[in-house]
Formats: sequence, C-alpha cells, structure tokens
Amino acid sequence: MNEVRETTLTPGPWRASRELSNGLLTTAGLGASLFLVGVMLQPERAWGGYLMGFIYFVGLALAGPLFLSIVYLCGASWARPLRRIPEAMSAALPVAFVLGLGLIVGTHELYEWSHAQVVEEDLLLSHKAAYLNVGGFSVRLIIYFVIWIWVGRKVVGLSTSRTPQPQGRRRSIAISALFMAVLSVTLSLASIDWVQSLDPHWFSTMFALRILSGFGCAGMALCTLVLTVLRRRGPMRAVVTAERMDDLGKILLSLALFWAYIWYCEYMIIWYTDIPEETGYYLLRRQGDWGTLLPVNLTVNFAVPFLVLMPRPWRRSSVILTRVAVLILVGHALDLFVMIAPPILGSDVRLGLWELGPLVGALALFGWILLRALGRAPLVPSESPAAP
Amino acid sequence: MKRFTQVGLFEREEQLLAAIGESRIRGLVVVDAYSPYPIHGIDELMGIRRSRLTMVCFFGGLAGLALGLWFQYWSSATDWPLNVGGKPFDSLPAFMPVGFELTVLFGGLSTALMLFVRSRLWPGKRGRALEGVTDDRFALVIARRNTDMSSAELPELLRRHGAIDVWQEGGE
Repeated sequence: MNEVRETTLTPGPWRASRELSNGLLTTAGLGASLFLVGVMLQPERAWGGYLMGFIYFVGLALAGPLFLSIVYLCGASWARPLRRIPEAMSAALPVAFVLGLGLIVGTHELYEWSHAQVVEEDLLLSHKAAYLNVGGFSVRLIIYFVIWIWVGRKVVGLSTSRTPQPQGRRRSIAISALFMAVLSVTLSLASIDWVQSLDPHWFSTMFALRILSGFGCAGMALCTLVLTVLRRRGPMRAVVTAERMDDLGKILLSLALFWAYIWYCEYMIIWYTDIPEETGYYLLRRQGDWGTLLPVNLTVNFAVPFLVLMPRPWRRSSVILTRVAVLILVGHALDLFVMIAPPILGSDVRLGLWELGPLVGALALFGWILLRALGRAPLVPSESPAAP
Repeated sequence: MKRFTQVGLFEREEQLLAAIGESRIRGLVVVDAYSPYPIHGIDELMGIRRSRLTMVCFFGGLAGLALGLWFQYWSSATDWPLNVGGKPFDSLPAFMPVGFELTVLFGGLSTALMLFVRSRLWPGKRGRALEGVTDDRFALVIARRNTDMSSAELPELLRRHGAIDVWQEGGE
C-alpha cells in the first residue's frame, strides 16, 4: 500500500533558493581567498587546511557512488527514493580531481618526504623513496581520480540513463562490484599517499579502513541531513516516511559503531604492542591539548550518535536525526583535524582562519555542487531496469 | 474459563491483512495472527503496543559491560596485580574487548530469557502449532469483546476475506 502512495506523489525537479546557492558560492570564494592569503603568510597551516578540506571533499564525493554500489549489490529497493542524493554527491568527483591537482603544488609544504635533503639523511625515508616521491604521488593521484570518475560515472549512470539496458540488474551488480573492488585498492593507496605519509615514519595497515569508515559516516550523515531538510521543506515529505528515517538512523548508528570499532582496533594494537616505530603517532596525539581532543573525538563520533540513535522514537524524529547528522559532520572535521594537523602544527593545537578557511570553503563548494546536481533531475527516480 | 476464539486459515498475506483490518474496525479483539514470515506493518495494523524488550536488552547489556569492566579491574588491579608488558594494572583499553563481549552476551541472553518468560515458554511445555503457519498458510485468531460466546458473525467475516478453513477454539 505504501509503494502505491509513494509513486503517485513523486515530486518533480527541485531547485535550491538563489540565496542559498549564492551564499555557498560566496563562502567557497572567501575560503579560497583566505587560502591564497594563507599560502603567502602561513603556508604550512594554509596547506594543512587545504588538505583537510580536500580529504573531506573527496570523502563526501566518493561516499556517493559507494552508497549506490552497496544499494545495488544488496538489491535494496527501499533506498530507491533516496538515490538522487548520493548521485548528486558523486557529481563533485571531477572538482575533487581539480582540488587534488592543487594538492600536488603543496606537497613541499605538507610532506616531509618531498624534501630531497631530508630523505637523503633519513635511512627509513630513503628506503621509502621508491614509493613516496613527488612524481609517483602525482601520477598515482591522477590514476585514482581517472578510475573513480570513470567507474563512478558508470555507477551513477545506472539509474540516470533513460535508455533501457539489456540485463539491467546483472549489469548494475557487475558495475557496483567493480567499483567496490577498485575503490578498496585505490582508496587504500590514496589514504597512504595523502594522509598517512604526513607521518612518513609511521605505518598502519588499519589506516585505510579508518579513512573509509570516516568517509562512510560523513557521507551518510550528509545524505541524511539533505533528506531531512528536503522533507521539512516539502518536496520529499511523502517519500521520507518515518520508516525510512528509522532506516537512515540505523545505518548512521551502525556506521558510527564501525568507525569506533576501526578506531579502537588501530589504537588497541599499537597501545598493546608498544613498539617505537608505531607509538610515535599516538604519542604526539595524546600529549597536551591534542590529548584532550582525543576523547572529544570519540564522544562526538561514537558515544553521542550511538546512544542518541538507539531509541526508536528518537531515530524517527527528524529534528533529532538532523542534529545527529550535523554532529557527525562536525565530528568528521574534528577527526580529520586530529589526523592531519598534529604533524603540521607540532604539539600546539591551533585552529584559526588558515585551517578553517580552506576547510569551510571546500565544504561550501561541495554544497553548491550538490544543490546544482540535485536540481538537474527529478528528486525521486522512477523505476529503472538496472536498479533494484 | 477460557474465551471462545475463532480461527481462520488464509492462503494469502493480503487476505490476512484485510481480515485484521475489518476485525479492528468492527471492534473485535484480534487475539493473534500467524504467518510464516514477518509482515511489514502488521504490528501497527493489529494495534500491538511497542515491545519493551529493548529496554531489557539495553539494561542487560549495561549490566554486562559494568560486570566485565569491574571484574577485570578487580582481578588484575586489586586482587592479583600482574605486570603485563609494563602496562598499568588498571588499563581500560585492555579491558574493552571483554567488556564488549559481556555487553553482547548479557544483552542477548537477558532479552532471550525475558522473551521466554513473557511468552510463558519453558522446557517441557506442550503447545500446539497451527498447521501450515510455518509453511504457506496465514492464520488469524479473533474473538468478540466482553463475551465468551461465539456467534455466526466471526466465521462469516473470516470466510468473506477468503479463509479456507474456519473453526472455534477454547471455551472449556
């Protein structure tokens, strides 16, 4: 009975208000100019902020095709009315590529291994130089993005293309599986290149999963946020039922659990074995003010979402769901800050314009792209032969 | 004295749902419904209140976590302090796996046990299962409010919604 009501009340194309789009674009512009000023005054901190913004941006953009692939692979027909949002998020991948090309310019400010002098004097780094060098970094970055954009576009095309596909379901499963397989390898390498190599002496096989779990949390939180806002504004009221919000809340809860599980697995093993080449990472992050941010990170990203999303009536409240989604989005920024900033800033926690400018600017740019992409197609997709 | 109940056996999910709907509108008591698989939204249709088992699960899990952490603290820091790899005796990170396991164990066991208690299931209890409801049949049990007498109204209602078999139960 529900299905009938949903398909008959399918909302048409939707446009964000001009003020919102312009506001986001202005914020993005402000962020970009702050970054440019920062590059002149405080290059290391500005590039650190740029890296945070870039990683956050890429994570949200990748969460789109990732969510779609999971939906296709599981045959999750319940997610059909929600699919436009991850599809719109994937539209940011080409821009993420451009931001990534910008990152190549900043390698010298960010990464210790990009200095020939340092590498020469450091035995471990000269051993790692075969992988960690600016040429390889740039080539790999381009390869990652070419693959992501190419396969990601195929995943999105499964539901947006109007032409009927022969063997629709088989094709969508094959493409989704391809994306997942390709992403697992490329994202592992990318997380080493972009984030883990900020502490070039340190290594952890759990790190890629930690990045992935953070991307999953933030991506799903953004999806939920957009859906609850669109629900309150009207266009998706008939589609986002209490049951759907319940499902979203459960996914958010399980992703918060997954994030905490991965975080703990990495920390626990390093804490327990206590060998010098591994503990350095957490030594820096447990001292002084970084040490106070560590439990805050766990509270914001795990404890609060876990407890708040547990009772069913709370998951079904759009106000509570919206707030938890915002909290997780803020928490992801904090998570990235604790991951990226310590090797750049040293032992002092400094969070100022140079960090926040590029980060907020990148997020505003993402929001602008998302809203534009959402306006291009009917908000709720109709039945598609390829999709469940 | 038990209440007279009317049982109807259906072949399709929609028939069962329609029969439940009409019984509720007519003010009859929907005693229970049986189905080989969970039906989405049937609890709401039958007017079943939210289960309070989740609270049992939550507090059971909380008790398990508390017990797990406390016991490890007591055994490794108070009663018999052992130096393991130079770690402090009272090390929360090391206690987490066992604390987590006991949370799951106590949460699960307390929920299952409470479910058995509340549904009055115990070892050796003899119950009768309606034939077919674990295979391909749907059964609905209804009764009249405030009476222990049955009338022709109930079987007629069930048959109208496509019941293939209707019979009376209870009323000793």
